[in-house]
Amino acid sequence: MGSIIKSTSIVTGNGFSAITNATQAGRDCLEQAGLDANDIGLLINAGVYRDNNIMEPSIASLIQKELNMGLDFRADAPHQATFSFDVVNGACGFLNAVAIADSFLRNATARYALIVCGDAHPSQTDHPEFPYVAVGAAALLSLSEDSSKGFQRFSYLSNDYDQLSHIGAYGDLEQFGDQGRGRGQFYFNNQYIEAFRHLNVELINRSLAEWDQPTIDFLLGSDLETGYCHSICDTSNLRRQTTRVMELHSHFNGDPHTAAHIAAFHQLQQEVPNPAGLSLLFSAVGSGDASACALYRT
Amino acid sequence: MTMTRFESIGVYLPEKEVTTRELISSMDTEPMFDLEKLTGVKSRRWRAEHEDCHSLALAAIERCLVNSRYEADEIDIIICTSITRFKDGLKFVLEPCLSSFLKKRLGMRPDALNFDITNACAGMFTGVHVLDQMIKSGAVRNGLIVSGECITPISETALKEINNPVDEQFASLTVGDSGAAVLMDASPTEDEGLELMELLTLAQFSDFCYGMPSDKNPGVAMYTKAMEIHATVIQRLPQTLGHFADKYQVSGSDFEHVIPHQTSERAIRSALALCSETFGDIPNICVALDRFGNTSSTSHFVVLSDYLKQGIIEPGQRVLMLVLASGIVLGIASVKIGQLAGAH
Repeated sequence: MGSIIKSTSIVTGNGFSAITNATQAGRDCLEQAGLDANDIGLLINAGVYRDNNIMEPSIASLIQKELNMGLDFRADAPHQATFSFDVVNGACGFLNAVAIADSFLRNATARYALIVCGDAHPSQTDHPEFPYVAVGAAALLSLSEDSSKGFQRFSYLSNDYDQLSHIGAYGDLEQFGDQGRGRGQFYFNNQYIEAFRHLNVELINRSLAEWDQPTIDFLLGSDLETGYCHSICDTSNLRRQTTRVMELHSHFNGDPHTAAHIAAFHQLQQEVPNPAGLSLLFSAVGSGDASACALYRT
Repeated sequence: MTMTRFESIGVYLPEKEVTTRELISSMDTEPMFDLEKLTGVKSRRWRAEHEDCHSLALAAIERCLVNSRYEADEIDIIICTSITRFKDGLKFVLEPCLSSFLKKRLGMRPDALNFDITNACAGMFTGVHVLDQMIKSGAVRNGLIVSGECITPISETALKEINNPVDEQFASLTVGDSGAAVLMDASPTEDEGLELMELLTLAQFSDFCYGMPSDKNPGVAMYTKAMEIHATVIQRLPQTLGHFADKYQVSGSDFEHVIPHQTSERAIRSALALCSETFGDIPNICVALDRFGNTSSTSHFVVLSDYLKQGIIEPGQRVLMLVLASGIVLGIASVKIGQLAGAH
């Protein structure tokens, strides 16, 4: 048995609230799957940036409320309950959330899991310093009876101990004064794309070797700049294959960050109407530095 | 494998103690109520100037690893679960996540997983739930859950900003700083382990408590609708615990102790008294609010460690963990305590 993506949804041009965008994506995703919000046992938000820099409660619980999902304990329907939380790990957050959801589904702890992603500047404005495109994304996961379908393998890799992260995002509250809710600080080392490419390729090569060199039809990856995913195919051991990529950076005119992988899967479904029997390599790379991969069969 | 277990735990508490009396006496607007009497918080630990979430977490992990049979390079995953994310003063970090810094600092394997989980005061038990599921599915063999909770900055903001005798920031004066870590693996026997666990988010009440930067001063604040939370929980706890009792065929008398989330001693005792009918009475209610206050996401582990040290909780006993957090998260975990080395 493997976890499959039952439906996906992408929201663009909907303003600059991470909560609003993720909520809208979640709502569309449920509608597409023909499910009621109360069918969802597990809701995970993997977006990094938080409206108003909210630290508590979880952003997931605020989205859950907006989705009218598991609002209260119902003694007459105790199975219609939801557990929600946030997973934070930069661009790798979505694949981490999938690995968590996969365990909950395999153990029959939840029947359906909804993962929402997406980032926006904490001020909820089109802030010129915000390095990512405000995209809301949602993916609904459930277990397939067919073990050859869905997520098959996961892998993960960080850079060396003595190396710092090549990018960072933080907030210095002393410096922000009374403006802490609407500000953020972003740091990009000018070598970051090269460093990320190196780590990304190393993990892909390791994973392909460990997974007995599967044929990869599509790479669905973090797309840091126009042509980035192509360069990953050209420099990794995928170059020996005819792997195609989803070009997200040019599509969104920027990096959709935590929404990238759902966006790539969504785009694939639009470009390949009947994608049965394909092998997909999800690949994420970001702050830490860290890279995550997952093998998925349609 | 049927169960996972707490293989080792580690708790770090900063040395400095600050009494409720000291805090209240420094305020311009005194509360309408006796905060110490109402909550049972007499004192709490306070971070030293050089301490932050990262250092509190690291200190807890170091204690945990001393108590563990695992070395850092044998650990498959680290999950950091604090609400606060301060590193180097009042700087909150979003990228990289805190677990990334900790993983490198500990010298864990580069292919070991790491991510942070945010779920208010349910953070550590959300991590426990996630890791329990990941060990059971075979995704990882073991893992470390940690929280370095540097939460007294909300008290500092409350001291500056409270100007109303029923201010929403009064609950911010009950918190204390701490670090806690737990290493989990597959239980080798039936005699110890996490026997059941379930967490629910009742999202209708997710806006009852917010923690975020203040809009009046540099720093972070927490705004709590304490009365509403109390009423909501009081109304729902008996029914929810009754549901868990039916579902898992357990009752109060199956446990030696209950460790509730540490909010207010009066609220805890009155809420549990109301559950007598649906869940039965649990012999011993563990509270350490008087000395440590509400340490937020670490509260259950701070109390567990303290009660183990005092010899009140003993190996072989069964403890009910009662999880309650903003969200609102309600849940339970039943833990049969093994030989938690070093916690004694």
